[in-house]
Amino acid sequence: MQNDYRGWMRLFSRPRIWPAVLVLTIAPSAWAADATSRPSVPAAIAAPEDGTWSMPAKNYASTRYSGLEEINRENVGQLKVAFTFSPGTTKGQESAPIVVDNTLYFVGPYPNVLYALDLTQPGAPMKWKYEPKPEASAQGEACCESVNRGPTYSNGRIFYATVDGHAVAVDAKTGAEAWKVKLTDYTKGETMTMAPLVVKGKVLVGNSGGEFGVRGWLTALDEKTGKLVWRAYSTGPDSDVLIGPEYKPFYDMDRGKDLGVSTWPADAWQQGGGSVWGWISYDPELNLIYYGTSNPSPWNDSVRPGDNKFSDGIFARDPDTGAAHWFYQIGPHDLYDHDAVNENILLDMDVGGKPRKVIVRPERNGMIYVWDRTTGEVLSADPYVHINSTKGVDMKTGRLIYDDGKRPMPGKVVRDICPTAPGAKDWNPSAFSESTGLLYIPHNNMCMDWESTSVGYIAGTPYVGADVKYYAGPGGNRGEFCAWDPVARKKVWSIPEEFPLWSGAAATAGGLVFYGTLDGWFKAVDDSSGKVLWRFKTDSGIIGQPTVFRGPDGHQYVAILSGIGGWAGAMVSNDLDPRDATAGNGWGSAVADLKRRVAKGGTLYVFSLPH
Amino acid sequence: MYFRFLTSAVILIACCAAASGGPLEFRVCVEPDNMPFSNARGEGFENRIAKVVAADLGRTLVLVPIAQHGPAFFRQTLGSGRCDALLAMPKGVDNVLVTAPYYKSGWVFVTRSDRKLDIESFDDTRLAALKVGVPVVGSGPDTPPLVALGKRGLIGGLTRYPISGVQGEPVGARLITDVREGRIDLAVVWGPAAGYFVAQDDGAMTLRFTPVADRGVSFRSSIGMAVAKRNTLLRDALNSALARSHNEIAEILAAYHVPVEP
Repeated sequence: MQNDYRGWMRLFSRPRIWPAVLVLTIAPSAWAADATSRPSVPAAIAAPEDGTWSMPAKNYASTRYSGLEEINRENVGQLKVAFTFSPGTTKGQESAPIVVDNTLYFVGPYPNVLYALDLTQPGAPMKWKYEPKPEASAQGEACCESVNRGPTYSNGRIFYATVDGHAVAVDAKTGAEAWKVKLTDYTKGETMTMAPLVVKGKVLVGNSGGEFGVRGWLTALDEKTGKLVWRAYSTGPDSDVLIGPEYKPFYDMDRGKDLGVSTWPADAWQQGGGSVWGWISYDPELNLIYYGTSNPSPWNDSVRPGDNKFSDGIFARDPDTGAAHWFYQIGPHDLYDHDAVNENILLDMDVGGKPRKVIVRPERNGMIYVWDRTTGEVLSADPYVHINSTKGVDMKTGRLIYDDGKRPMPGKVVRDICPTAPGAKDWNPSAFSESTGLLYIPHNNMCMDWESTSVGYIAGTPYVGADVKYYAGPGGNRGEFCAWDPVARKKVWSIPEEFPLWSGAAATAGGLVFYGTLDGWFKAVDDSSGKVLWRFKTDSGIIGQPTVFRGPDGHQYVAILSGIGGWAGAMVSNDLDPRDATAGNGWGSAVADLKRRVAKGGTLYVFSLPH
Repeated sequence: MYFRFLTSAVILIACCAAASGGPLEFRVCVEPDNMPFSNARGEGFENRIAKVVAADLGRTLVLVPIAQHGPAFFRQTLGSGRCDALLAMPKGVDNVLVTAPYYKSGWVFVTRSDRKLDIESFDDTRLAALKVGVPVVGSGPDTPPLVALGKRGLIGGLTRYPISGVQGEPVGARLITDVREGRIDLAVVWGPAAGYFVAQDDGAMTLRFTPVADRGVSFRSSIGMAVAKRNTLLRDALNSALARSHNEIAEILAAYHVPVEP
């Protein structure tokens, strides 16, 4: 109710001179109409704003929305740097700065140092740092730079994953290590980059390395001890995938015995990919967690005929046991490296006039999916970018329909494939505003050419490489920041961006949405109109996740890490040669100009109004 | 003759002093654990060829062990000046200058001799019933044998051996061991990676060349050394040194049982 009230206020906040009497008169009916059609956060997750941001997605619904409104449309123009902090690294900074108990925490890329900054002191000096000292050689094993997507907080501890495959628990007050558990063998290409989620005393974390043929899994560790509670593999027999009597997928294509074996040739599932490196959400009412799995391995799909389950899909599982309740395969037999690991935003909203419990997710393949999160039924799948590699979802069977003319094959040249391998949108999460009911999506607008002509080389052995070139899609802008109405299923407004967007977004009750660009601008835009109201140029490019919190002084702050890198920014952070169009797996041509615009760096920026 | 040698020596001092910070060194980045090509102790055939070439140039060989990881490999090695050259570079690799080839090899079929599987083509009908092991990269169309098997749908008995992202036992050793121990019937291996291990088995294993090409994909590669793209001076000096060292290089390749093609 409180949220709805704020939303209603917003409707009338634009004409600022509106007489109070008129507002009050019109209010009840306008509000009622608006409230029924506007999506809301599930009641079991909705909570009054407490000014903290204790997990990267802000809450279990993954809205990345703060109810703070001190910084608003009217005053955001005065936003100033309150303090900064440099971790001294020059690789990509994807971590969300999280804030609990007047302390700000973030994790850098390799060597994955965890910093705690004391917000009660002037300038927020370092309180402590924790150094997990990961193996240096693990850096090179991560496909797309040794990034880290952030720490999370629960019961007095900070939890995160290291690139060399450890999960760690650190005392939030002292920085003392509570436990450290080795989960992967990075020498086999199995690394960890994701931000864990803690649900019911269990730390949920998965592996990265789908491109190296690792077998993907999600693991639950006891929050207190680090002891393994369950592990659910993404490929293999049902007993490994934790598929039992509770498993009731919506579509026939996802039903059957041991699909994690039978949808692969021979023993190919053992190296099948399906790693878990993205986002997890949790519905306490249904007691289900939701997360996605990565692309199947290897890329050459001719050696893995079949649907390759359970890669490229979304799982609903019981967090207590790991038991799967449903699975939906977004990309059966993936052709494009379209990991299905993006953020799962849990909303309750009307679909076709009926209230539904849904998951909304902008997918890498260019469509925004809405699923019934109780059953896994696809309620809608609408393009939010130009797509020609697929023709949408068959709503009867649930299957994605590929366009065979755009299928990359060895010895063939295929031009104008939209979207690209990193997709319409990669891991960088969108935000949902509880005030407007809109989704705010930072994404790409690119297409690619593909040909298998190059000579590759690994450790003395030649192989057949692919020349992949990404370039701007229709309109000529490589990125876009858009507002999407999940009920009306359409774009409300969009901001063309020169570069692809690789940063996350955060929305606030102040009518603002924050995001960053590869060329280093941190922006605040009007959540209703998309007008850029404020921007600040940071020291490097931005691929991080903005967060919003209330400081011990009672004032609102906005935090973001700059630091170019990741898959899109490796041209700069790894000194790749922009003359080589295929450097960085296709990004060479796409962001060749980025090296002339930004340099390596990495700094935490925290902004506030002057006070 | 004397004059020409002097000229190239002067050029070398200029080029390598700039690249490596020491006028008397020939710095080569090598895989630290990739026999028979190279290891950190200098025991691979590439290590020994580098030594011969360094001696010809009048330079001290410095091995810089660095495993190949990720897209930044060339920048971290040649691009950063950490080393002057990389070895075992197939002709046609972009972003580097490759010298004239000092050997040409190909992919080979490896079987146990007692199995009498004289397979010489990917069209051999016996392949469908065999367990076949091949190295895989994971991205792009992949290794030539993976492409050939994939095109024919010969995947029921396919076992993949990752080259990248794996430290420890080199891919050739793993494949040959599995053939010997019967876990796979046939391995399709890059020649130099196979010959050394096959030779250690004293006739128990048989090695046959694959066809030169299969459905448009070449199964042969000419191998040279790589230098930074702009370093034509060093490339030229290495070309001369490789030519002068031809016989010694041939002896080293033979000692490591590298299957070479003329």
